[in-house]
Amino acid sequence: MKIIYSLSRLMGYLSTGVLSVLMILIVADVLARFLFNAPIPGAPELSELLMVILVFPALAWCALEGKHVRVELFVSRFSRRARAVLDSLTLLAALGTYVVICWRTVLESLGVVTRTSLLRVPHAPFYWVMTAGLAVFCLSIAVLVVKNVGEAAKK
Amino acid sequence: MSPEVIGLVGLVVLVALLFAGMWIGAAMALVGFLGYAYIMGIQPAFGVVAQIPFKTVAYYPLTVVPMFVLMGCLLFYSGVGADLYESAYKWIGQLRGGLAMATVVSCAFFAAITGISAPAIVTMAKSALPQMRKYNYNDRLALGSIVCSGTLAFLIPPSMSFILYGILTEQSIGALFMAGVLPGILLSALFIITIVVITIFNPQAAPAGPKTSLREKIGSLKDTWPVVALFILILGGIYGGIFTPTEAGAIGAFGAVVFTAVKRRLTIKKLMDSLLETAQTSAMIFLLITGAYILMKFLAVSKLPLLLSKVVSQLPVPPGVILAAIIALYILLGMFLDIMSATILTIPVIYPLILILGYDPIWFGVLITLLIQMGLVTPPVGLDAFILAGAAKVPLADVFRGVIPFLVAVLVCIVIIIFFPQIVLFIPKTMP
Repeated sequence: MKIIYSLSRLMGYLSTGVLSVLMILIVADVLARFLFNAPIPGAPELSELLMVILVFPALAWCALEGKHVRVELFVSRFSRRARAVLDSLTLLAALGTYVVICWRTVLESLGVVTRTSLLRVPHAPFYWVMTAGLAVFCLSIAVLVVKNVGEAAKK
Repeated sequence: MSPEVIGLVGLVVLVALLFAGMWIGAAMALVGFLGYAYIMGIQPAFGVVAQIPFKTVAYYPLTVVPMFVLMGCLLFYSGVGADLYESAYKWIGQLRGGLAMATVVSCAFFAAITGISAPAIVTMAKSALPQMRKYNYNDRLALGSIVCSGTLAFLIPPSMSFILYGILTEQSIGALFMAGVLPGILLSALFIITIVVITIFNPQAAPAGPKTSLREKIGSLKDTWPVVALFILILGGIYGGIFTPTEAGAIGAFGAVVFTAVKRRLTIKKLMDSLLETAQTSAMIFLLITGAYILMKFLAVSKLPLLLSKVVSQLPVPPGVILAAIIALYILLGMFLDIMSATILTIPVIYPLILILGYDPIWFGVLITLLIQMGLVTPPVGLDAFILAGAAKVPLADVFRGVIPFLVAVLVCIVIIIFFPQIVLFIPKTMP
């Protein structure tokens, strides 16, 4: 359990770092284009790849911190135990969904041979970043399921 | 079962899952996947979920999402919002209701450099609210003016709701930004009129603030230059075609770092906090967006939106009645759901209908934004009201009561833009 918490935080920091790189890259591209009429070659496609490292690794961390949006209007009226039961069920459904998505993206990643159009950067490593992010995301949902089941079993 | 019926069943299941408290993004992905699999077969559905996550995230126009969130977070820590209030209050604070009007004005200017409402609301809870309390303002008026002015961030460009709407409907984000300018000024004016009307009926609600000299007034402007500079940089850059709205987010975020550093308010901790918060918020938004795209695939093959548009447009009522029904629907959605997610959820169904009815898509983007603003502050679920109640440590019910007069102003604004759509479309039509 603890490992998944640390892992997700670590990946969150990774995505934080990428965020600053992304900002600097876009700014540099605009400035170079405006001042010297010479945009950074391939800046948009690099930005797209950076987005992959920004978003997927942060999913798990966001989940464990309880930041994913949900409708709490009705659930919040239930007793603690009923809420834990319901949360276990919906989280289990979410787990199933993302396990399927993760599994399918793994198969997809295995077959990726494409490269970006300008800089010829291979897409494959970034597909693997995505699947890794999704895999840890699934683990974090599993942790939440266990937590809620424990809560539901408690008297 | 016909695909349309499956589409309908899917939506009912989706609503049930949402009310059961499932993550909204996950629920959309689940229903989208199962529905698509039911209509098209399991292999094509596997194909959809294998491709959509990467294609959605690695999409250049969406880089704007984290960049605008980052800009908002940085500007919150920069303290320019408080500086703006300080200046606005020196200029108009001595009027009856002036401190509340200053809130509207400073939020409107803050909105011109941010795309999300939370930074303005939290800033005003810490700067405007104590001032209004010091001068014995009615707490509800104070809270209502803060939370409703805070939502101007969505109407006055740059704006996150225009970005999301533009991406989902493939409309020009630049045109949407420009379309928000005049309605933004109009709504700010309507908020001020609301305050004037309240003070006419109840002068005790908002006594006059302290008198300030002209020297103090002019002196207070010197702290507001970063706002003017950022505003000119962002909107000027977009309007002049120097950079795209997509790039404007990064430019704005970078500008915010520079200004905060120049004002010596940038610490490593603030920068880290902004980056961490942005990374989390981005992950949250992208879980929603990828879910919405999977759901959209399902809705597209179910042909439900098409059927709905056809049926509704053939109803023997004028388009205005249908529009009124759509507005009523969004007001209801805004009350009971997180309105941003609700919009992402419903646009695939509602947007085709709007086109068939003959309304301008840019104009509808502005209308939706006004409805989002309402949804953020209406009970029982109003995200911005929650944020203010939390930041100001006041009962949520007080915030909800305070917003009522300002909701009337938003409704008036909606009616005005329905009858005078040129207010929305005038500036976008002049764009190069």
